Amino acid sequence: MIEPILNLQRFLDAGGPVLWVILLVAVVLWTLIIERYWHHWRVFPRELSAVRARRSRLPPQERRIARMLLRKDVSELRQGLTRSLTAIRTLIAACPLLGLLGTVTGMIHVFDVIGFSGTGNPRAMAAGVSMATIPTMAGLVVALSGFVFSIRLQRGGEAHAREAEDVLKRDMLEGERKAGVRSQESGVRSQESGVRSKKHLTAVISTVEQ
Amino acid sequence: MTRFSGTFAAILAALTFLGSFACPPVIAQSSTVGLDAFLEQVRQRAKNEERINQERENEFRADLDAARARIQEARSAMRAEQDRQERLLTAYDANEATLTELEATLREEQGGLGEMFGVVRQSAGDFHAQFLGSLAMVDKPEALEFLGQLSDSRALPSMAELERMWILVLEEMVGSGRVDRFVGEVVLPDGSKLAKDVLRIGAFNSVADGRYLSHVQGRNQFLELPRQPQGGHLRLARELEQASPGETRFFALDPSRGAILAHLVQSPTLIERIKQGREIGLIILGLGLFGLILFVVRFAILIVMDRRIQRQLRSETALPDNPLGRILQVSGTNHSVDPETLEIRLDEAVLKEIPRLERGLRTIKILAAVAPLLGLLGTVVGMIETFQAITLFGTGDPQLMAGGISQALVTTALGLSVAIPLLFLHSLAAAKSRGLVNILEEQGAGLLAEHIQKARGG
Repeated sequence: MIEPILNLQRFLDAGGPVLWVILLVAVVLWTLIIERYWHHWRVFPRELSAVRARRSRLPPQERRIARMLLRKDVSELRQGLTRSLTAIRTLIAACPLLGLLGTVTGMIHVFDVIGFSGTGNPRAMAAGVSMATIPTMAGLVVALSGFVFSIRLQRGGEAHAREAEDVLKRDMLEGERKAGVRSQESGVRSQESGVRSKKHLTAVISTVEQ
Repeated sequence: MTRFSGTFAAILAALTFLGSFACPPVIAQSSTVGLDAFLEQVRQRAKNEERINQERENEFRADLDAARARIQEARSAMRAEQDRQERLLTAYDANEATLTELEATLREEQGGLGEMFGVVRQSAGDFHAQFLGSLAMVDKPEALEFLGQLSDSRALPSMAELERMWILVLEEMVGSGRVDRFVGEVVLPDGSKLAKDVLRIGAFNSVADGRYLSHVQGRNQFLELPRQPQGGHLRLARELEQASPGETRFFALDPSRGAILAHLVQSPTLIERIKQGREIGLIILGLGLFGLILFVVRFAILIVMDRRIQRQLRSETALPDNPLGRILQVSGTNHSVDPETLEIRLDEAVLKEIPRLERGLRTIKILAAVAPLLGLLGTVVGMIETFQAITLFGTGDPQLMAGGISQALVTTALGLSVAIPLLFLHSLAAAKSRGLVNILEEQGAGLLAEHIQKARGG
């Protein structure tokens, strides 16, 4: 039990101060990722059913206003789904940079040692070299491990949001049918498909920008 | 003319010749008596000389006899001395033999003792050199002096001296394992000397007033290190100084007896490091500062906007001090128009508000991207300088290359340490502004709908 902790301690000591920052970033990153999964699996279904229940209690409205309200609800859900994805992406982008910073500080350390004791003492330089290499490796490992999950989370979030939109729209049409407004159904459908394609396009544009 | 003078001289010579023949008969005739006297005189004189010679001869003969006698005398003296020399030589040889015999006896009787005295001298010298730098011997100068004398002396050490050395070594051994307090002279970085209470920890470190000292060899004098270890370590040192006897305290010890602390003085501080980055380092820091100020200003504005929008969400009437309120006002002024026109007006209003929320964020992002590039530029500039130094002076002197290399490394490090925080800050501000834009873009419509409904209902 003690042995792995000591090994970790030795690893962190060898990596220098930058490795601690990378460790902190990794902890924050994985906390955010786990929180996101928790949100996708547990919180989002609850929120969706809450919204559906609220909407089912609403009195029948003019269709334009109903569509605007639907857009608002979907937007709120979508915001909940993609809340900390930007932060996750930023953390992932910062990891290799932190690794590089560790490399540079390690090299500064190595050159300090060379300044003191010349190039004849590889043992003394070894500390700086491990300070240079370990954070780089750690930064890349953290970034790569987080990268896969961030992409999956983003796609999952989009999929959930689209799913919520579909479900809410079906509910709305159901309600309209019950209210007996059948005549303009086809018109509504065409408008809605337009809205959806436009939304999809903006989503694509935003991913490209990021 | 010359011929004339030659003839004149010849005539003169001839006249003189004739004259000489004419004179003699006159002279001989006039002095017959003078010659006899002259003869008598000569005889007298000859007799005198004979007598003098006789005397001289006698004298010489007497001298010769005396000299012979002296030779005789000297010879006999020499003979006597030679006899004496022979006698002494024999005596000397005899003495020599006795001496050799006695020395052999001495060596025999001394046995291993001589070797031991050599070892004592050598050990005394070693301990003297070692104790010069030992903190445990700082307040015992007489002991150091004694050891120095012992190592230099040619005489055999006495039993008392041997015992004293032995006890001194033991004292040092015990003293190097103790934490002791004594008064010593401390030289401060500004050159002033003060007598202070110095606390020494074994033979390793010494502190005074919570500051680490370095020991001056062989004297009860200390230098206060101009650059001290980190504050936490100084706090530990202060706590140790205030501790009561027998108490256990943590302390940051330098096990190399000051060598690591001496390196600490040489290693550059953060400010010196930054100075190594030169102009490019300053540019990077300037950009970082600019980005930070920009972020603070924009984030403050975004927070204020957020507050106002939240208030707007709760309030019934459209307030003109926030973007959402202004959008809602658009719907209020276009109350009677058809839905499509209203939507277009609304979109227009939203598009007008978005740039105000996103202003400055792109600049922060660009700064975050530019900082590592500037670091790279600094690296390249530093390496160019390094290679120029190598071209001029070869690789023999690392000091000449050091300036370029440290610039190369420090600018990269600065670039990264500016870029990483800016990246986070940009992400923070962007998330905030995106949230607000989302409220305007997507919820604006819904809020408007609610607004209209309320207006109709009310």
